[in-house]
Amino acid sequence: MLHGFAGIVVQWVTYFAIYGIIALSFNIEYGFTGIPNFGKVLFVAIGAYAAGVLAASLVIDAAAPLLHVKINATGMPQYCSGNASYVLGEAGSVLSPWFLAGVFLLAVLAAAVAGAVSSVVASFPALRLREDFLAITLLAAGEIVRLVTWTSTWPVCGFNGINGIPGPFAWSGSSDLLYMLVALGFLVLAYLYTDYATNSPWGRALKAVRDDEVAAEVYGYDIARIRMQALLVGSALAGVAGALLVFYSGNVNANSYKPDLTFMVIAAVILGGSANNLGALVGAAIITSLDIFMNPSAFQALGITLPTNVGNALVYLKYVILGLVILAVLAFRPQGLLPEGPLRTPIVEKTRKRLQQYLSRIAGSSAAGTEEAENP
Amino acid sequence: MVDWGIILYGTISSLFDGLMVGSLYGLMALGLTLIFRVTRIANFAYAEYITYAAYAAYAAAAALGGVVGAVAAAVTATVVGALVSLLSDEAAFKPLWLRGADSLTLLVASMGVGFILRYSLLGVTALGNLPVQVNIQSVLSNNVLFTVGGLASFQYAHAAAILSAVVVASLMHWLFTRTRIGKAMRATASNPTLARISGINVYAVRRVTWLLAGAIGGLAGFLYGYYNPVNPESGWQTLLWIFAAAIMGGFTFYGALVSGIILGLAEALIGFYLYQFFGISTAYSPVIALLALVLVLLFRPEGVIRLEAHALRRRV
Repeated sequence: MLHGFAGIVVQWVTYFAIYGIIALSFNIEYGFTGIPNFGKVLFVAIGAYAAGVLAASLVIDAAAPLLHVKINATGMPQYCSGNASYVLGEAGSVLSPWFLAGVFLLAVLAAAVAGAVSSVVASFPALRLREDFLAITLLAAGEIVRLVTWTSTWPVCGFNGINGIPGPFAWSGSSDLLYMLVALGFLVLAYLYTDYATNSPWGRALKAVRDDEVAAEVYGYDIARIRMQALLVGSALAGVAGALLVFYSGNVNANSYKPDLTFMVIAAVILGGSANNLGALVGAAIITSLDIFMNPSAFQALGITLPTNVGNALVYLKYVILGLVILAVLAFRPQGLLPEGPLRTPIVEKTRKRLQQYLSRIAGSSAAGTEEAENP
Repeated sequence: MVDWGIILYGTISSLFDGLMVGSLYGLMALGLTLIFRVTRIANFAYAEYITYAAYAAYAAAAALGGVVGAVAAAVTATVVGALVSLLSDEAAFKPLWLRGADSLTLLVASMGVGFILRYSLLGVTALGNLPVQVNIQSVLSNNVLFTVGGLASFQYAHAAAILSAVVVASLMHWLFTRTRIGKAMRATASNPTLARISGINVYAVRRVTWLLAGAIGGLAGFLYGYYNPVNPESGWQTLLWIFAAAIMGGFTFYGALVSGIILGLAEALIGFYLYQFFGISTAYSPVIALLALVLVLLFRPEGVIRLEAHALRRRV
């Protein structure tokens, strides 16, 4: 574990990577396709639940015999039982690093699949409702899932949550530094993929659907299909981000997936510039800074101790600032810090290159005689 | 073995509670509908007007106490609700509207306004300057009006809520059918451009709409806080029910009221029966609101209890 300033930097980068992935996924849906998926946190939560449940089950199955602990769970999943968190906490020292890494990768994959599958749920209203009603429906769906999973023992132990899930580097002394690099790797992959996909013909189709459904339909685009594809990609990415969040914090608690997270992501994308992938990352960086530094623990790490009540109020002040930022951006710079640019379509580049070659060839052949005459 | 005595008195008690909560949902949905119809904003900040009004009502009730305190609390809540509502429009929504923001932008802005209001209240409570939870009933005495069999009690809060819903509905009916401003509001709601061409001052209509919606929300906030303890997130937790009622009513003024009462009864009765017969916790009852919302939007987006059609369906 790193402490002090270095610890904060590592924390910042890790959260930036996770928020960045969510912002990129929201940008595909909202920025490029025009689907206001205001239930974003729902898909992050589903990814987190899938990853958390899978990882906790696998690790307990493997570690409990080694630690000579008998898990006895009646009427609840085994990872909810009293000594499960002890087993999970000690698992890092008894299990091989390869096993933990395998569990991590498997859980991330499961989260992506769970997110993608759950996007079907969102696509059902998304094909039928007007934007603002879709936003209300998805927001409500996210809240209800949080409420139900917080009350019921299944899937994530209700209000207790699953605690102490070992990360892939639980064996290492500098696990958070290594984890930061992994999270950053995922962000780079997500960015490369999003940038490639949105600058492809598919990206043009997304924008066509966003800008004018009728025109897009006339040009032969299957609107329902394109919307579903955008939601599928966005939700799978959100699921991956949820899994990364689980292995960073080590716990899954239904109550940490509040609409506040959705709102932070909306703020990041609108602030950075919707339909601009780099903009989404810039927005995510600003929002992450707000999230990390408007927190008493950050002040603690820098050696400043705040009174308890001021510390608590600071966390709430974060959201007030977020609200003010949103209003200011909507009023004064609705296109965001980095406005939407033209697509870098290979078609245009290739055509331009060929045209230049063609032109230079014409110019070359007609000017060949004079050029040679002037420059012997 | 089911104890039928508990079922009977529980049903009566749930009916009382459902009617009360339903009347409040109806009132709140009416305010939300007013704003939506006139300004096209699905206003997420509406919940916060209710919370602010409830806190103001608590302050007034605690300061005065007794019957005077109750009246003062109702008046304070109404005024505070109206002012917070008007202020949020003048500061946030109107400038955006003048810049030509679309309905989704306004929705995001309303979430922003809601965040500012809710979290500043939470921040003030965290600093220790305000109670984390207020209970207006605890400072106003003499609560029970009558009981059925000594088990199902009908309190002043129930009477006040149901009576207020009836009175407000009658007043609104009078306003919409008999007064110039009411007719101007209806005209603006159905066609803003035509209303403007006809010489209606749409700015004045807008101002009156926000004041009126805020006042109704504020009154409902006081009545809600008269029965339930209120914390800074109470309004936000009620918002789902308010939206469900407004959407069920197809964003029509009377439809919203009726839908609110139906949803309130459904919450109380279904919640009670599910708990009694199946042991399912009442904490799940917001699922009813979500189901109502989703089913109505998917299969009858123009609303179930509507007085005029309002196309929400999107074309695919």
